[in-house]
Amino acid sequence: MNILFIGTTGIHHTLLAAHLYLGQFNGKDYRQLKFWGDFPREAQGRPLFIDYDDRGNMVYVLGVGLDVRMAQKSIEQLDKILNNDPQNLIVEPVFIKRERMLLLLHRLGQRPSMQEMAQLIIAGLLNNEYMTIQKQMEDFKKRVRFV
Amino acid sequence: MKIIYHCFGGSHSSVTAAALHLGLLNSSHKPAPQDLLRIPYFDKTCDSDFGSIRLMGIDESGNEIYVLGKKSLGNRFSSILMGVAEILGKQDDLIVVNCMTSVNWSMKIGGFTSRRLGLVLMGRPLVIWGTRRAFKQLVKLVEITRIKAMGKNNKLRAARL
Repeated sequence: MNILFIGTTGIHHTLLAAHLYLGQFNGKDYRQLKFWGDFPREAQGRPLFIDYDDRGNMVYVLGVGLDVRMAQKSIEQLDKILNNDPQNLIVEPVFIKRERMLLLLHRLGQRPSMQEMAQLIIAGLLNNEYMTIQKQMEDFKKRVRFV
Repeated sequence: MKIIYHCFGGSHSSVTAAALHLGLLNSSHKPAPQDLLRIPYFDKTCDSDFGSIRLMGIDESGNEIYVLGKKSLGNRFSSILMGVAEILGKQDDLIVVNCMTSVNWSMKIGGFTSRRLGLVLMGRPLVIWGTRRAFKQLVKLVEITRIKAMGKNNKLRAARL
């Protein structure tokens, strides 16, 4: 099975969520995260493979812009259209309270001169949202256990 | 093979391209306004249709033709859908076509007025005028897509043999 975490960006909160789901992050240094702030990869628009979970599922992250629900709908419909086994893909949106702020910082961070500063502010933003993301992942783990 | 034509609202350029692909419009001459209005979904979508992949029909080669409105996600949406198809191992079964390259200002303003503001009487004539102006470009886009689909279908057939 494939698990795809989607969010406004794929290289910040969504990435943190995926690592929390995998149990691969418990510190505070987000720079340790694979693909953290990797703007060139994010710009390609393809899902980024993170790792296998303990049940052998492949875990990906994907940044889709502000309209996360719309993207979720399209991806789930595409899965159906491609005649895929419905249990082959789980699309899980990840939300934080300051989505717009994050997207703005993400856009600023695409400029090399602003990258360092943007990453620092995003890290600060995620520190405030850490518990929310952790809670989302705990709920998701409970749900995915029954799939 | 599945072919998805997408644009901002999924109700003008993508729908016209899909209609051309399916032979619902004659590519050799500009369609009359009534021809465009006869196309399913043309200038008829609402907000809840954003993100929905809608089937328009099946072409003579058996390809399923879909349309999609993806708001302002741009060409990135093609990469997103192709990327998802890749992780499902179905990338050879899918072609995603961004129709925004053929959209002109009349279509943008007319489409916004008709669909978003709900002023159909004002917006529709403008969007039809714009669609007729963009018609040649849409014909080219569909021709390129047909060639791509043919290539992919041949590749799939060869792989099966």
